[in-house]
Amino acid sequence: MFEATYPKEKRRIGEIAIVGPKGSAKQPFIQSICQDVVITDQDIIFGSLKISGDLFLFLYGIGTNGRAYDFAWDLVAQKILGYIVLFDWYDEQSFKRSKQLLDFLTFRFDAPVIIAADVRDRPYPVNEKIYRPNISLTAKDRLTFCRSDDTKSTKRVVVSLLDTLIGQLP
Amino acid sequence: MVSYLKFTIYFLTIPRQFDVNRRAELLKTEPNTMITVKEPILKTSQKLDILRHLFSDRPIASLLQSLEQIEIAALKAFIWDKTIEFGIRVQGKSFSQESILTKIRRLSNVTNKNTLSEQQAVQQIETIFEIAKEYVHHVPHPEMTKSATGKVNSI
Repeated sequence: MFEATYPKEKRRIGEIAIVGPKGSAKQPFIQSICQDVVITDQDIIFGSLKISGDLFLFLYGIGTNGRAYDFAWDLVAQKILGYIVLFDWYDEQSFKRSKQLLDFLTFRFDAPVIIAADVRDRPYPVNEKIYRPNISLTAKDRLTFCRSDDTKSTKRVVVSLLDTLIGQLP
Repeated sequence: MVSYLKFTIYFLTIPRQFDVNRRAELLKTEPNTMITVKEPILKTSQKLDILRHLFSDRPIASLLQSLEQIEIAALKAFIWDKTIEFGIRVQGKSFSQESILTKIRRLSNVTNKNTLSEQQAVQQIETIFEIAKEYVHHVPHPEMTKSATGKVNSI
């Protein structure tokens, strides 16, 4: 359906990977921002956001366990603009697993990483003055907070990633 | 928002492919080869851990125990940078780095920073961390600064 409406040769695409441990809210995050969402597997979610005309942003929600993990990296890792690591700020296990994932990404890939600490329906741990627009950890890695089902909040995370990319351009 | 995204994505989709090809050429490898960068002293995950301790109002001591001396030095530099960053975010133009230095001198009781023992260095880190906590946790939320008239005061 998507292919038929927007032929490949006419599209310009920016691709972003939303990665996170099992249980992180990748699906609501992508659904909150994308017009078209395809869920192929519990750990692989695809969303497309039409910016205008032939210009699109593709979001790949990728899990971190088993077959889906390897498949996803083989498929998208080389051409991705940047990564959003999504985890539940208040869940200790989610945090521990996202740390391993973060080290994997930052050591192996050159693309920027936005760490999106998801608070869901709970309060933010600090005043927004502290974390907005984001907190830099390295030249290409940033931390920010979000609510994974709030469109305004998830858009801010994506914009943070795009800002970081622009900042990296020579 | 849409026009901003439009401009940004359009801009980014052009140079990225060139960047990937150029990188591959430089490395004499296929474009899909993963890049391994030099390992920094502190991993991004460790920095995230520090900020999680800071934002959750936990003591830093548990993190210091497992670190080597060089990592402790890097951690101190990171906490110092973040303390200044949060100070500026909270206090704006009225922020003064000198006020932090005065607090450190007073609280950690250190007279000459060139002759710090390991214990003094750790104490100094804990002091800087506490100052960072003050900035992070004592920013009044707008809802808490409402005056009797219901008008929100600036922080």
